Amino acid sequence: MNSGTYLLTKLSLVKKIHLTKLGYRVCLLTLGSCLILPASWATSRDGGGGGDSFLDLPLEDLLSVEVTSVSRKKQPLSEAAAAVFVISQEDIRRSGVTSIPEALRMAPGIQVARINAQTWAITSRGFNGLFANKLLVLIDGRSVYTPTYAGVYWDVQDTLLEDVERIEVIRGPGATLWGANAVNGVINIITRASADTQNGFIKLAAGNEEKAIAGFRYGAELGDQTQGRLYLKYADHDSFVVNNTEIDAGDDWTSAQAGFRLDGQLSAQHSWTLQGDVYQNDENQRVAILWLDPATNPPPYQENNMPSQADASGWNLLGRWSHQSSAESSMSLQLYLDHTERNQIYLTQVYDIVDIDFQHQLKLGTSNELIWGLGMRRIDDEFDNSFAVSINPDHQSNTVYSAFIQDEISLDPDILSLILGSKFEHNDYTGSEVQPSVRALWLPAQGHSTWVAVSRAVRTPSRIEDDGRIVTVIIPPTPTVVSLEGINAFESEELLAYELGYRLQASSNLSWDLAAFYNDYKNLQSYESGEFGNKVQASTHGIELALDWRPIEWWRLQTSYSYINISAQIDADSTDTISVQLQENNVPDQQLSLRSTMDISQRWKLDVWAYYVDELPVTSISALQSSQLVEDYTSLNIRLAWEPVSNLEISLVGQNLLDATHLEFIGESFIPQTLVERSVYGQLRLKF
Amino acid sequence: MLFIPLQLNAMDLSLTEYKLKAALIYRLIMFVDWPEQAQQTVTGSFGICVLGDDPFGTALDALQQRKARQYAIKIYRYSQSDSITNECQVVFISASKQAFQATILRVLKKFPILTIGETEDFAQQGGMIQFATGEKRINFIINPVSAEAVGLKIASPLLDLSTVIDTGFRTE
Repeated sequence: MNSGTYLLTKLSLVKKIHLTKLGYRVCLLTLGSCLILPASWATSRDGGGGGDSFLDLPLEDLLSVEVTSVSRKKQPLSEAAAAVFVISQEDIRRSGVTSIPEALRMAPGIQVARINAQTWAITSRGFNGLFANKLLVLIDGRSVYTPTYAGVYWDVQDTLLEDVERIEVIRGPGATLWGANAVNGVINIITRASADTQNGFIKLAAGNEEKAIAGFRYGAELGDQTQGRLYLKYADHDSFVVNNTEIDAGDDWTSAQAGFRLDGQLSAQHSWTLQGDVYQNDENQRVAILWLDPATNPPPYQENNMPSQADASGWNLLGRWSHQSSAESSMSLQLYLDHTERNQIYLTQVYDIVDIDFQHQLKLGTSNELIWGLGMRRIDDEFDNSFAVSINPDHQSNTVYSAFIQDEISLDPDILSLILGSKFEHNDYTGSEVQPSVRALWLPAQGHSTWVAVSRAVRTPSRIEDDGRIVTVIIPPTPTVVSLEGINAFESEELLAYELGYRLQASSNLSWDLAAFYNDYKNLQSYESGEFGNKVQASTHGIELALDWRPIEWWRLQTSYSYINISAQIDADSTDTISVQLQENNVPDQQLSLRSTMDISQRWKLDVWAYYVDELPVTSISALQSSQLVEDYTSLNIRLAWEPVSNLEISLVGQNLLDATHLEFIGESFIPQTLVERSVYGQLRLKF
Repeated sequence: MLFIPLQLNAMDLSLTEYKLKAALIYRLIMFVDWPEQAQQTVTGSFGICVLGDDPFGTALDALQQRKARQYAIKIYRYSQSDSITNECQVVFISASKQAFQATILRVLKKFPILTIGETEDFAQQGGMIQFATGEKRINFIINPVSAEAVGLKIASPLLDLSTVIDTGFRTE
């Protein structure tokens, strides 16, 4: 954190240097010798790969090159007026994680719980569950939450981890710049520019739980102004084990993904990027209870512990064009297409999303920096229902229109800024939503920064809350089918958040980052005699602390600590008997993570990561009904890496070493209670 | 210094920031003289080393196709300053080492090594050549006193193109 990590608000940074005059034949008199550049410089500029022709440029020319940034807002981390934590590429590599959900454990204020081999419950600042819905997740500007339940299917959010530049974790409402559903936080996964991933890379890993991982990437320059890469990735994950038994949980799965990225610069002012991915996952799933139609099935109208095959596949394409018209003004236009399919025994879902987003950033006078934007997203869905889970109508088209504006007012240059903004959205469920936010940033002295914020955010209804039906139980002999149904009158959940933060660069090798919050929620989802309702209110408060300390040159310690307290109530006219206990107990009161990274010698690195997660008394309706709590646990992860030659790294990683198995979360009734197992794998990484 | 532009071809070329810095390193080493016995490593090459996180990517590796004077350039990467002994003529100290910069510069001043960095106080703390990014362009801040203290001579044409500061190494 003390080496100038940069936060990007919404778009990735492209910093290019534009050289306009070349081809000098120059004679520099120096110490009596004359350096004459080859006159053939003009012709030696080849289109095939560019090569090292940049080394032929004379010193005078290099010093007169203008450095221009075609970018959106770029601020040093210490100046962001929000609770931000950045997980860098080095953090990802040295923690030994093999997936994005596991990497998120390094951030304070984020609760990550692995339900089984292929499913995670992830949230920020409370309200965790398989269907956690208060977090917005973006990959390079593309939103990846599913409109089915406003949450994220983590098993398909993947890329070659070595191509991730960083993951920005912003706790608290990010509503103003990102929109509805960024209620408790935004996770921004940013991949590296093609220019930074040139040449070849291969990785191979094998272990007991991560049975096989293979990754390949090749990057090249395509002409002088364009760089690109393509990658392939495959992973085979073993199954875990069912709680209180020795039975295999039947949740093993494989994933295959490929993608490309192209970055280009048309001039000093114009840059563009085009990227896409395609993936296919094949997953085994064991369904604990599948309810069957009594009209065509005998009692007890259910199948238990059924093994089934599920698959998820999709592709996406994203293009962005940026233009820096002057030092005061820049704009960008982004378009993406996202197609996803998910086929499970109780529901098949297909989504086609088209999203267009425009942003303009400009400096007005000396003390105002304005960003405004317009966006439109069209979501077409199609469902193949089962008796147990159905959505009606089974296909629909929804459009969301949005606009936002934010003004950063410099009240006292470099010392005090006020940031006012709001997002305006119109959606087909609740009509118009307004999400304003006021923030102030104060830098009282060198190395200290404080910020405060008050924001309003909403979480708009999902398909299931509006149009869904989920069978919860069938009671013989009639038989009576009890279900939970969506209602068209389902309202948006609302949040009013009050936040405060303080960052301190205590010395050149120690920095702190503290954030505190008080959140007031209204209209939270409730269960009203077989229907979804909005009759839960809650308030939460907590603190998060991150520390970064380098006691000696080759040893770094990073700690993060989170504390949260949740208190929920139902409305006077509510018939809900579950939500209060559920929402007050589905996140740990405290979490602590301690990571030590040591460069023990030129060739050897030893990284140790231990994290503690407090107990979870109630994680789901099925956990409440079986009175099963999730105990607190500590996970110890160790990674030892050896670099025998400079382009080759061999490592051995042990994960969850303290317990052979442990329970992290109990999902809904259809997933068997599954234990996470101890895992060890060996990996080879080669650059060529 | 005589500077005669003989031919001008307007061309468009995009360089990433670190390709530019790699080219700058390649050019500026031609303006520095090493003491006779330290001009090459034991293997007869000219070592350019990166200490800490390498921001250059593959840009610096391109220098290995070239020579510095008559010695083939070799690029090495180090994660700790105590591992650097006699394989390096030049060490680029990465911003990731900023917290320990003062200690590292003290360790390296035992050797005739040209130190290059890009943090704000690099030259102030005794680093020899600092890349500074101004409003629009990259320029050098040079500390010739610290270079002379280890037997390196920086030629005046290079000093003319840079901002020169004068702190040298203050003995503590």
